[in-house]
Amino acid sequence: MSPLLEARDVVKEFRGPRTGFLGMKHATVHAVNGVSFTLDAGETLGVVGESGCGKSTLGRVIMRLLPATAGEVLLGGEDAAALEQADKKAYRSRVQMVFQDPYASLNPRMTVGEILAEPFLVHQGLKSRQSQAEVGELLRIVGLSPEHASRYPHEFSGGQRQRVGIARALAVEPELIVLDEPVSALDVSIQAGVVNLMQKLQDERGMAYFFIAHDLSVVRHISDRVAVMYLGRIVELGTRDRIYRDAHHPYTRALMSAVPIPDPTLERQRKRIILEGDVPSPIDPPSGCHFRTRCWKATEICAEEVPLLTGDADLAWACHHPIESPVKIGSSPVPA
Amino acid sequence: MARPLLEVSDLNVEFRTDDGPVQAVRGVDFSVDAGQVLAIVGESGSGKSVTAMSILQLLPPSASISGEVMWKGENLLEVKEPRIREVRGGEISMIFQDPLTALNPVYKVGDQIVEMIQAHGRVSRRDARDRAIEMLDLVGIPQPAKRVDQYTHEFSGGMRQRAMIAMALSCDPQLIIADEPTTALDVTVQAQVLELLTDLADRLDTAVVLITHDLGVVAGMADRVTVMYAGRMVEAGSTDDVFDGTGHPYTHGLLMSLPRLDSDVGAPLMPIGGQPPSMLSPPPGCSFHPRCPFAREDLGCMTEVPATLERSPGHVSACHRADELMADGALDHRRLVGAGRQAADTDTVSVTDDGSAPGTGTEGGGLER
Amino acid sequence: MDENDDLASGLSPMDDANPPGHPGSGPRSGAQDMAAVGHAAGAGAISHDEAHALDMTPEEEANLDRSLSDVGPSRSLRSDAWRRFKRNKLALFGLGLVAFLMVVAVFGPLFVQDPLDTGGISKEKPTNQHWFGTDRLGRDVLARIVYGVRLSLFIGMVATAACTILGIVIGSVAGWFRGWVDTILMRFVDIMLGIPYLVLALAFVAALGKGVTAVVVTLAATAWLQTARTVRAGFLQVRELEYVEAAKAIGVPTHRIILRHVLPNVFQPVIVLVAIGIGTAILAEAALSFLGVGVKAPAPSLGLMINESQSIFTSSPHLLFFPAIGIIMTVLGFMLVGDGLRDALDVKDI
Repeated sequence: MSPLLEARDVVKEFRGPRTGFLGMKHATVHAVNGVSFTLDAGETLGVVGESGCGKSTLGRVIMRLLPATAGEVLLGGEDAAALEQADKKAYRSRVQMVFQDPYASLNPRMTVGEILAEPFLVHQGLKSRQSQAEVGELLRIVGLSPEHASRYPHEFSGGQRQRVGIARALAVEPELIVLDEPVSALDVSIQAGVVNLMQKLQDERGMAYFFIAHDLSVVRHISDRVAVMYLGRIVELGTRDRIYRDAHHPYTRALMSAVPIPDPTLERQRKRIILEGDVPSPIDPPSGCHFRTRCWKATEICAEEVPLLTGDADLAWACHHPIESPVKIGSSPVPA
Repeated sequence: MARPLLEVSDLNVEFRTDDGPVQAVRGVDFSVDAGQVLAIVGESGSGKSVTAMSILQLLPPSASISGEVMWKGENLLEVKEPRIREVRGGEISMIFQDPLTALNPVYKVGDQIVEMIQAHGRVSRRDARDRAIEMLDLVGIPQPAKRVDQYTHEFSGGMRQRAMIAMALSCDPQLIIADEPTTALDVTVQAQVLELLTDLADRLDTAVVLITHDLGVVAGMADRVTVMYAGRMVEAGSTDDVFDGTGHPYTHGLLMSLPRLDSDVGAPLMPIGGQPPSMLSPPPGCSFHPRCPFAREDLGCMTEVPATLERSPGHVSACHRADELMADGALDHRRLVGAGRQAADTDTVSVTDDGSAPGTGTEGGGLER
Repeated sequence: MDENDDLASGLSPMDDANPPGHPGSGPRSGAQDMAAVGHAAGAGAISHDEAHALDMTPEEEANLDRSLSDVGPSRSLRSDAWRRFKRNKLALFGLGLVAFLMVVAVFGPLFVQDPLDTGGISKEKPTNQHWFGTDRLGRDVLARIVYGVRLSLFIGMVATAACTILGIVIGSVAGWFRGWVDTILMRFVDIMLGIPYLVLALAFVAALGKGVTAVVVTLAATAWLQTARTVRAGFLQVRELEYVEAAKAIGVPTHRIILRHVLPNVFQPVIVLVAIGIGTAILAEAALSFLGVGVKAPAPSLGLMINESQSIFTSSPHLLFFPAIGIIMTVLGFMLVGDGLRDALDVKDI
């Protein structure tokens, strides 16, 4: 059986700032640079990386909000681009998205009821009076009260607004939801509730999640498998347990070691891998392995050859000098 | 006992707004000693940033402030304009979340540091410039002699933050107030900047007031913590006391709700129920009671503001049920979520590693705390 | 570099063969056991023991859930804006002025004499019969001003309505489609804005002739430029926002995205432009009429009345004074309302 979602060598380039004589040419921003992965039905793939690594762009390519420059995305074994072209609505009812900013993702001039009624109008032709019951049910499912359908987004708190965003994605009963940093804009005490809600909904409805985040702790909590991205490429891909217990890629290691842990005793013992400098510009990424300019293990081969993902289905890394020892936090290995 | 470097007592800040007065800060006390790192933790709307801004009279005119901010024997809330300008950037300097708002895009980075130095002492332009280069070098900016003549847009995000730290350090302040200094940064860059701040605070014996929402950052950096909720201080104490002998349900709730790298996977997170309060009409009694799983009407949680009492030496919290809950172990997040493999065996520290460590690097590769 | 790996591998690795809690060997076993205890307590504790540990009755838990869906009292954006507007005394004064002039324009004609009746004495100073006096032809000035205000408001509103619709359509097209459509339209707007206003207006009048219709068309044709630019700028900004992306993700058709998601969110500056635009249009109409290329005599236009009073205003100042007051009141009223709206709606770039 084919996986629910498959990406094959997806490339996405943007036109960058003008360069050249009289600004006649445009630089190319290599946002996503040959990414392949699969995602099964009901599974959660966490995608982590720092800003500029292309994770959000990848999410939008899957969502077909952006066309891929090269490569293909398959949904249920069929080409997503063709599916979407043939029937836009059908595609949109299978794949949905939750956005990062709960303040920007809801139209301030529409009531929450109108926002949630829109999918029913678009997909089933239901007038807002006819979809009242469904809207109320959606609100109830995400922990809000149906009476609030007549309220405007600005009357809700950040966490409540993000719940509305989730409800909107649920309306069409999708098979896959692309979650673009859904909790990173929320206060700490609110995040947990939204994460739990997403897990509960997945348990009940069996959707697959493409979960984009920069927070390794949240990803660890919610994902079945994890992809680590750096400058447009997947540098490491594996099951959650393998990634967090014996990631082989130096970048994954550095990323994990940089995450602060709310435990003073542990923090005092930790020895951090401090990377030098910033992520290079995606306009002119380094040759060979993109990470080599910040990597303490880099050698000549890293500049010459692009490392390919090697390993098995449980853990694959793209590195010429993988680290074999298990990951530890403080003195202890990462708990399973 | 020596007097603390900075002592804030009974600080109250009220804003006049369209919708009525907002009490952003309500009776906050804290103090910082020389060389100490104090973290003020809270979520948005907790009043932590307002507290920081009020120390240097940086709040807009719509704010009315009362209380005392004692700095070297004078109350900074009452000193006049020329004196506060001397203190700002000279004795106390600030680091902001967004370096772009603090650095002027139309001036060279070096000129801004030079201006800062010259504003606080009679220094020739030449010397000030040398000092600026020295500062950029200190914060780990490569090629400082070249960078000093560049503009902010030529700096990357992490480098801007470093430049701002360089500027903050340029007049040898005794205290740095860092308002969410790493929130806008990526996690690997955050690690760099925090490492730098800790290292500098150690080396230069500078005190730091760190405003943050990230308990992980607090655990790694702070000596003492003040937790704020809805404008009030709910708990304060040494970092170990607050994390390991938590004395307030809110702090406990925060610790319980965090997904963490060291916890067991599979256990659901324990969110704090409800929503953050509106500061226009904060709940009566203990502000946290609508979200508190332990709130009890008969104990006055809904009606009486809890007193801030000492739970152990140097560790205070404001909760009607703190003693009882602490004795029951109800506020022990480790027991409840199985998080934190408390390393009882400190001998293993010497072999602690993440599996690897970077080689030598100018920017502090693998510094050990 | 590899010594780092070796350094760590000296520790007993924890893999699947060694599940958490497995008594390891060496000095670390103690720590491991502690961790294991934490683990056991943690994993099982959440559902049942957790509630106990947190000391929560089912009722208390329900309370927490309820507070999750708590939303403060209803507060509409419109009432917020109105409250801010009300605090601005000048804007309220402007609104009063506009309301008063509207009443005058609608009901005034019922109470005044015929503005075209030349039966009175020429250039009479204000009297009981002619409160504002009479003009050179003996017409009642009050009547002419009431009709003049009526005409000014009519022209101002119709012209502004027309230019606003035109501006929204062109601005939307440019802002939504971008690319060469945008380039062509906006360069055209730039060129039009580069031509001095009066020259442009005179050119239109020359082509269309005099009269109310010609004035309305002239004003509308010259005033849409600003609206188009504002709407386009709004489109460029709003179309990038997440809620527009979200609407696309839902599959909302383009026309509905424009009408429901983008337009309503670029409307605030347009509302301000409308209020200010009416004031500007009235002033422009007066100017054109004063120059003799606007409304045709004997129609009662305030600009025309000032023009007619020019040569004799030293002997009959009331012929200049009252129409001037009329123009000032109308224009000031709309300008103040526009200013108040700008502050109340928090529009920054006009």
